[in-house]
Amino acid sequence: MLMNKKGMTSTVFNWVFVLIAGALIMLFFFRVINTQSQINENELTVTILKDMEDIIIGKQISTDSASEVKIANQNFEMECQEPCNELTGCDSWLGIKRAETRIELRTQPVFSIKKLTADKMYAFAAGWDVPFHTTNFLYLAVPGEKLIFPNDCNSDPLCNKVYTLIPQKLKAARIVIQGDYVGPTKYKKYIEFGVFSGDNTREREIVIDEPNKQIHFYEKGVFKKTEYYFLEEAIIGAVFTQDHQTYSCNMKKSFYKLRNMVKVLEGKRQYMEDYSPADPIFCKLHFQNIRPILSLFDTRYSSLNIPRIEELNNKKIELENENNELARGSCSSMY
Amino acid sequence: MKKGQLHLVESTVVIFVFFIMIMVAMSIYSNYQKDKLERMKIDLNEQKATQIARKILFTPELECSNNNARTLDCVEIQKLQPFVDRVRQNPAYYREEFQNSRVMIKWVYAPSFFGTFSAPEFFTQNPGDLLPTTTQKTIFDFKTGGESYRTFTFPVSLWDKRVVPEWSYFGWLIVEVNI
Repeated sequence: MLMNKKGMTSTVFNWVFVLIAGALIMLFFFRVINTQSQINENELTVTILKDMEDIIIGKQISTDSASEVKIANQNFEMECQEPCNELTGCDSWLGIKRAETRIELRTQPVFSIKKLTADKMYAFAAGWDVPFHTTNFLYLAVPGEKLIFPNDCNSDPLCNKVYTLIPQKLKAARIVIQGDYVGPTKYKKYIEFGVFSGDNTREREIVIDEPNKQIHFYEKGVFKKTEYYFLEEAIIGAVFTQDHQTYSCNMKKSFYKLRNMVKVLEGKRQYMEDYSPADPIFCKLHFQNIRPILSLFDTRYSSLNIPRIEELNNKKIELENENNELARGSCSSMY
Repeated sequence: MKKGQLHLVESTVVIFVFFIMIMVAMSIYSNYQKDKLERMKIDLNEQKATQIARKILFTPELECSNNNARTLDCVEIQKLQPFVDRVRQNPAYYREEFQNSRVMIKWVYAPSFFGTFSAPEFFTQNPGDLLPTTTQKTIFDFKTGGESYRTFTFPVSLWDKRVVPEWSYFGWLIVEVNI
């Protein structure tokens, strides 16, 4: 009986030993697998973010053709939201929500939809020259996104210009299309020039109101908000962006940059006004003429209205003329 | 000690040793992975530093242009002082843009620059100095002390737009970025 009990204890102990040892071995391997998958995911994220950052910085520098970046179906998200302020820009980033590493975009205007999940992403940039170069607008899009221009786009000069400014690569990838797209897709937006379609089956629609330099945002046929645009690059921004909030957020960033540029150019102008050895009277006069024009560009996006936008467009032409005059008189150019 | 007891002690020791071995293996593995992650972070930070340096080199506030035709790797001298002033007025914005970095500009060489023209005020101590007397100046300094940093030195053209066509000098744009 005693021997039997001892034998039982030993057997039970052996089983406990096997259980503990097995559990430890399994725990170890689970941990190895878990850590390894985390590392792999982090590595992938870092590699993708590196590529993305390379492209974003590259596009800030030069506006060449559209680039493609492989993002391995990671759940990329793009945020641009309030609060925005002149000191620190807007709360804006691009990255994977759960990953530690993100690309901060507090001051850089990047127009894209919020959820960028696909195997690859397209990126292109356009310079925002107002008329002096202020910043580059970066546009991102993923396959499955459908940005639909009207069939008769060629007959409207503004529509034609905006459509032509978008790189061919995005048209070939069927992201930017003319006519219509029937069937389910990740994100669909219709772009109309002039008049609202009135179609409430359209998930999203923007209407470009050229005479007032406004963009009207609609969702399921319901009017959401009107925003302003200054130059065609901003219209492309409205085409590629998620909604009116992200558009306005990015435009605020652009105008903060514009105000900084104006201050620097005003400093240069003041200096050049007193320092124009070629033809001092002629150069001085034109540098003086530039002063009130330049000061008009010292504006915030939130303070835009129809007369102000009109004025900005007129002053852009005046500034271009003044700059040409300076060149004609052998003075230094303003920009 | 009886045979049964001996067996029990033996088993306990085996479990204990096995347990220690597993713990050692786990800690070695986790240390190795932690190192790997650290290396990745350093790589990423170094890349970020490179990107910041590139961003500074191409910032529109300093770039050279003639009727919007932009010249690469070039800094306009007449924009330097207004830019320095603007960064002083709005440091938070530029800290956001250029992170923890310090940027200096160094005047190196000005071919046939002597005699008839004074050097640009940005590089002189007194207005009217014929030759540059302060050849290296800090544009801004957001670097935090005591941390490791990388230095990037870019050769740049320095455009003097007081004359038409502009005079071009040779200089260095020195960018130090915390990593």
